[in-house]
Amino acid sequence: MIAGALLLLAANAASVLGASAILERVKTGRASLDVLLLLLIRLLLISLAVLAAGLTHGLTPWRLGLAGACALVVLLALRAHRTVPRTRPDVHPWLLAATLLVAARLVLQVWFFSPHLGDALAYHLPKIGEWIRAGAFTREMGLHAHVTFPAGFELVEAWWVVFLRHDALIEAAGAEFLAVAFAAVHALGRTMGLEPRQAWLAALAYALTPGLHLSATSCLNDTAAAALVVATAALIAARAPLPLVLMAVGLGIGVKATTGYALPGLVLLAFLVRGEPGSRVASRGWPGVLATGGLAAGLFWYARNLLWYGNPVYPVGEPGYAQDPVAVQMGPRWASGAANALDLLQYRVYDLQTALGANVDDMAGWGPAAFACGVAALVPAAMRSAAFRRLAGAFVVSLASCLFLIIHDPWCLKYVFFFPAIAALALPSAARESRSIGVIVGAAIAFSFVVTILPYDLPFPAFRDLYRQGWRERSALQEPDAAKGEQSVACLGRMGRAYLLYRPDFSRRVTYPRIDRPEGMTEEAAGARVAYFNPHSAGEHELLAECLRQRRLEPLGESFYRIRRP
Amino acid sequence: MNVRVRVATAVAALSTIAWRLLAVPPGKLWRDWVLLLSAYAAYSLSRRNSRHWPIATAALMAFLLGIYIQGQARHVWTLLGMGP
Repeated sequence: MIAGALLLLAANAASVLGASAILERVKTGRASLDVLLLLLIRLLLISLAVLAAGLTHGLTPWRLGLAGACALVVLLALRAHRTVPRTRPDVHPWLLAATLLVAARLVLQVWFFSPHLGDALAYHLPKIGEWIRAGAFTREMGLHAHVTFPAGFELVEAWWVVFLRHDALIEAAGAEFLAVAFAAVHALGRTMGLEPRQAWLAALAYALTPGLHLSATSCLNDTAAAALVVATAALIAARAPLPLVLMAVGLGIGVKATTGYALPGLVLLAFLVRGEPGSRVASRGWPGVLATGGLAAGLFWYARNLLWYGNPVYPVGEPGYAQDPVAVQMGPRWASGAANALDLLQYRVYDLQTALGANVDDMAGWGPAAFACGVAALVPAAMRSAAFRRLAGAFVVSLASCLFLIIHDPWCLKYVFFFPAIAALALPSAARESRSIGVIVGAAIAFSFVVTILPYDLPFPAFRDLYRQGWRERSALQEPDAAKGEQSVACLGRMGRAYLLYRPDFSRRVTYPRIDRPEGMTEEAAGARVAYFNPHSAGEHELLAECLRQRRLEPLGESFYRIRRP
Repeated sequence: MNVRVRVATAVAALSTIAWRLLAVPPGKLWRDWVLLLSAYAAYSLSRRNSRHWPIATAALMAFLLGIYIQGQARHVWTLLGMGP
């Protein structure tokens, strides 16, 4: 484990120095925008490194770690450490203290939280279990219909688990994107004419947006998607060179196709700011290299699906897919747009239904700062500044575009976590109008801090259980004693918590029998003696009942079963 | 802000107020977020520079924050193990 930790440190140091060395060639001269570029370039390097490793059987601690260590030695020899930006933030001491408090809590959340959210366990993370066990990308990624969706965020998660061969730090991937969101709002604020301290307040308010913040530590990709939309807007608003914008767009569509739904507003923004002075960079070649890398990292998943399945967005658009209970929408629909917009305005924005979490069930997850203060502050901000009107108009178009393209279900508003950024940007000017407004904004941010302590699917008793476990064994899965020693488990049921079966150190093999009749169980289980079956659909319930009736499965408890050979 | 933007804002705010008055039951109007913000936008158009504007802004924000906390606090206390 110590060797793994050293390799992790070396690889991360190399990624920072590498990003910093590249930044030297594409610097815009605007400190805030350059910090955002540094973070984006680092994420691009990480994504490309994991992509290359996954394609060449190099996704192992030693292979990727030694490559990182070698890169670090070369970069140090080239004195890349001298290029690391050393800017002292201009921020009010109380605001800095609040930010450090949020950052410290985020570190604790990364450490003590363990993957726990159903969607992540069923279809985002099982592919990471397969990749880490195989040391390469695999065709097997689990049973859920959406395992083939773009996995740009999973590349960064894989980075945080591969060196330790353990998922203790997997939530750090989301935390990195939360930092991108913070830097992007700060950069946008500076471009909109906010003073550094005001831009910092806006960035902190946005980072504490409940849906965005809780998603960052829930292994979902919605924080990453939102952060990349806001980052793209920041680059466009500052008139950064087009290739740098394309780099961010590429990373975004690689994380989640829904980032593309926000593009109409971003294109409008580019049109509206076309007359503003642009940001110049020293190198002509490097922006093109970064654009190529970003687009390659993003389009990889669509090309892979085209190669494997003949459909870049597989399984969307396939015959029968529309009847799938978890089907996503294909193309715009007026009915979805109207229903999504009305639900958002009329009740979801109140965040009333339940406690907040990454999936924001039947809520918006925009939080008290945006709901109570930010949207009201938009009114004077838009009245005062034409630049702000342009930005707000672009965000509204992106929001509307998304609402028409996403299916109307209780969770759809997690795809528009980028929008509260515009409300956050309006806050600082309003807070400066009078002391009482400042106090209310402060109270709203304080309550945002409270509602982002735990997500609703990790209530205090469940968190306490995780806290009491040692970090090596920390897992949200309860296993019966009879299953604990099993080195191989067959996972049935598409919505089960498949990822947890791998164990935190990926020491267990998981097989995915694709059966609709009990007779196939024995062969498809591929030698596993224990099955995990958490049925959701009527067909899965019938299959389980039939397996039990034929005595092919014997209950062990907690959704585990002994597989009995006939 | 030029005249065209002012007129567009006024039309949007007044149309939205009319929509909410027609669509929302009278007993729930007092806490309708859309209505309150539209009324605030209309007020800001005409009284942006008055000395009462910051007070009205603070009052609206405090009221909305109260509504939000009233709805969410019970959930979060329960989640954190401090509720009933």
